[in-house]
Amino acid sequence: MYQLQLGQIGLFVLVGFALPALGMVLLAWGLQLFLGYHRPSQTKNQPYECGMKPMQAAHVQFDIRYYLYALLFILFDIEIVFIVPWILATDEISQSVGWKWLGPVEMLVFLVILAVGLAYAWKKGALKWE
Amino acid sequence: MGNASEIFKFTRLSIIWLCLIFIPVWLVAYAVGIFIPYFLIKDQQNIFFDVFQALVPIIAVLVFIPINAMFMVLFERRGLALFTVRSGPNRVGVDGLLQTAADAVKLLFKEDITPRGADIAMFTLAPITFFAPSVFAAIPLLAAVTNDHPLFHIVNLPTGIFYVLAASSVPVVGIVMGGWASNNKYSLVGGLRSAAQAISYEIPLVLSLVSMCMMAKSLDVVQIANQQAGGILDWNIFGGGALRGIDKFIALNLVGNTIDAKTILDAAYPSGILSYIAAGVLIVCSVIMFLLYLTGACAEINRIPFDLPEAESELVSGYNTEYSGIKFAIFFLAEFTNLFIVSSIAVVMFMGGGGNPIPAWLLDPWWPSFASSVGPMFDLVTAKGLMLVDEHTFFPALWVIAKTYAFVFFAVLIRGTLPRFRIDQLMDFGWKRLIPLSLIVFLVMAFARVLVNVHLVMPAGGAP
Repeated sequence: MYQLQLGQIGLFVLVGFALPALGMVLLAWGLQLFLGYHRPSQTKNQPYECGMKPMQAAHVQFDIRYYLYALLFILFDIEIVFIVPWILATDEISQSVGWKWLGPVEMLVFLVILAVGLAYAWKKGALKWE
Repeated sequence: MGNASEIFKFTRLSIIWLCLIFIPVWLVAYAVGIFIPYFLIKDQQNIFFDVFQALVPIIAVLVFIPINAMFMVLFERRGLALFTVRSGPNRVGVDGLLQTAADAVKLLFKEDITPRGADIAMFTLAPITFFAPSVFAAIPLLAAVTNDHPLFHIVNLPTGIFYVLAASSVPVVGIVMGGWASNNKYSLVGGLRSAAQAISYEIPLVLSLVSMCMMAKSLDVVQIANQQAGGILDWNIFGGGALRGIDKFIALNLVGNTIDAKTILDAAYPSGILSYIAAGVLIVCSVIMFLLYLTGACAEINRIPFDLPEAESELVSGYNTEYSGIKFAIFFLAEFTNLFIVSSIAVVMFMGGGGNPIPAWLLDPWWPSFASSVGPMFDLVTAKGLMLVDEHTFFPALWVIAKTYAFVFFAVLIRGTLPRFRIDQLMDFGWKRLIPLSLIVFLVMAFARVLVNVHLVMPAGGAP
């Protein structure tokens, strides 16, 4: 019934789903602005900290200890982006050469390089939570 | 579990709901997709004819998500009550069916508090960032759930699973935004923890799905679901089609066609004993991948035992400590929608999508020509002529919902059973156990797949 092009589908998805989802949220929010009551006070708007006054500001420079994990994660995420075309083409690659193990062996080489990287990071202590 | 009557009530509630949830979605889909174009506009050349039909998936999702999340909250509360031997909410409506609706109305009347010093723009945007991707992620799944119904064909993306993965990893941004913008230390720690576990468990999660795409050689969720049609032996959890040859061997043997049966066995397992070993390896690997998916999915949507971002006993309520009123309700809604979406991905990728679990060779003698006996019944009571309800859509949709709720029940069971991880245990388990394991299993599957013909086609004329 519908023979739309890929770009049109993307546009449809964005316009069709993003706007209604946004609309739904805004509708609920507007309903609450209308129905709920608003009497802000000094004590009520204070950020919660177990009942006492907040000790310091929460917008501080926070030491994110897992940045090494995050760097490794980028590496592995890109690896997955490379795997996805491989899964679709692996049989064709193997057939074009006539050796049925070519596709898996390629993946073996690719993953071994990654695994060596992970093992190195592990050994150097990048995967240690302090 | 000693309380038989509570179990009965819980089951009854679920069955009532399974029947009820379709009605509003159908009514809306019928009104927008069939009634307005065919009876009010009539002119097929009119641009609005197409526009209204294209609106069906959007309207269906937007009706389905809140109603479904409403039930899931009740389902979870009743389920937890079941495991801790108490009644749970059972006063509002029949068996407590309207409890969540009452809660939602209550939240509407609450005051919307923005804490002092909060970043107001981010504080407001965070629930939306958390909720919108769950609507996006439902898009390609809709086509798989309705078995590629013409009205939902428009949302069937060729790279469906890739898109779903992309969309379902966005909510973490919403959590970090909300955590940072709240000007609260608990929220900040909760948001950052959420990012930490998202980066640790995304890789096993994606690799498990990608391995199933490798078995199916496709990223299209509709295609992956259709490949698993024909009973439990064809499901991806059992080797991604490694048992397909045996399934067809049994089917042909039952017909009495032993000559074709031998050829099909040779075609499916071309290398003799090596192929059978490979098929066994594939089954074990698929089950491991499935368990990896469950673990990764639990971590991705912050369910117990991975609910560190909102750990009540340490961080009050984590990233949504400062949220109240409707913003909190949206966080809550999105959380349950994410659970539903993750479960339906598991159903489509591992559990055969809309297929029924009984193998075709068992079902056919038991209930001959199942579809054709049900079809005329549908003609009588519904609008099959208008292609809204037919047996090719109805049963798959019912099966997907039922299987998805089985996963939701499993998630509730886990919530009622397991304690919470510590953050260093969580990171170690993700990086030192799950990621190496998923890489090895993926590689083993890549090798074993070559020895087994997982895309087996029946010989012409021999198919039962």
